[in-house]
Amino acid sequence: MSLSIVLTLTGMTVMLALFTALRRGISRSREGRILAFAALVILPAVSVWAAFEEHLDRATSTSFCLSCHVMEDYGRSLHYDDASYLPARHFQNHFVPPDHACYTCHTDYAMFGGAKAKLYGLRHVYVQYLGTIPKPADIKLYSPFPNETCLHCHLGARKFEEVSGHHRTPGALAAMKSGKTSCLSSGCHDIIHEVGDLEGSKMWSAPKQ
Amino acid sequence: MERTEAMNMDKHLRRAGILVSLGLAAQFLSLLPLHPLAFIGFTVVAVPLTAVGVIYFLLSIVRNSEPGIDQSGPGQRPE
Repeated sequence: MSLSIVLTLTGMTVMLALFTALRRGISRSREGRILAFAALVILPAVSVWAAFEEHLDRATSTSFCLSCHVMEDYGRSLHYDDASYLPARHFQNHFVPPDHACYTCHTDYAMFGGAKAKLYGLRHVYVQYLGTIPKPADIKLYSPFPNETCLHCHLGARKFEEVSGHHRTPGALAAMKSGKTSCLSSGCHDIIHEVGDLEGSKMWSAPKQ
Repeated sequence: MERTEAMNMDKHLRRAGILVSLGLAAQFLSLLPLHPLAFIGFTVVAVPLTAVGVIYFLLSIVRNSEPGIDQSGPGQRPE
């Protein structure tokens, strides 16, 4: 549901609820009671649900994640003009949707992956406003980056299945697929955000349309 | 007696309507900025206000329809 629809629905419900509240004697007729029930129960419930969906959807956007100051360097790291930086390579080549870049790689693809990400997000908000904000370079993942997140897109892709590096030793590919060998921390794809490299690095941005 | 009940119902409706309106107005405002605090505002202010308004309205209906209260149809109640 688009933002404009949710805003319109919310605005109309506010007006109808106010009309119901300020109209004298509305409860004395059957039609009035039906209108009051719609304005004060059904429409608010639909409106709150739609707004909740909208808020959850917006929380997956790249600009939402980068709206916290501490994340700005991670946003800049998506623009390294160097394909060896994995997030930059994915972002600039649209291997991940640019508008949902953070969420695509930092959410578990499991039943409660989205809910877990939102709970972590609430913790981040708490730290941002009430806790001690770490330096960008000190930010660590909660747990080792799971191969499942990479395999969600790469599994079965020809480039992934046939690239020589993945067949360097017998069983290497199987070890990656089972998670025994980490894609990121086993020395193969270990250049990630590296926010310490930002100063003086050449950056690339897509030309404005 | 019935007039008093109708006035009471109007009073409850007014209170519920104002609570729901305030909650939804807060919800409207929370949708404008793209920021984590907007979501917090939505969950901490908008949703509770709206929920309290809806529950208040539903409780007032239940109380008003308890046995002993006249349930005559539209336009039947004396002014």
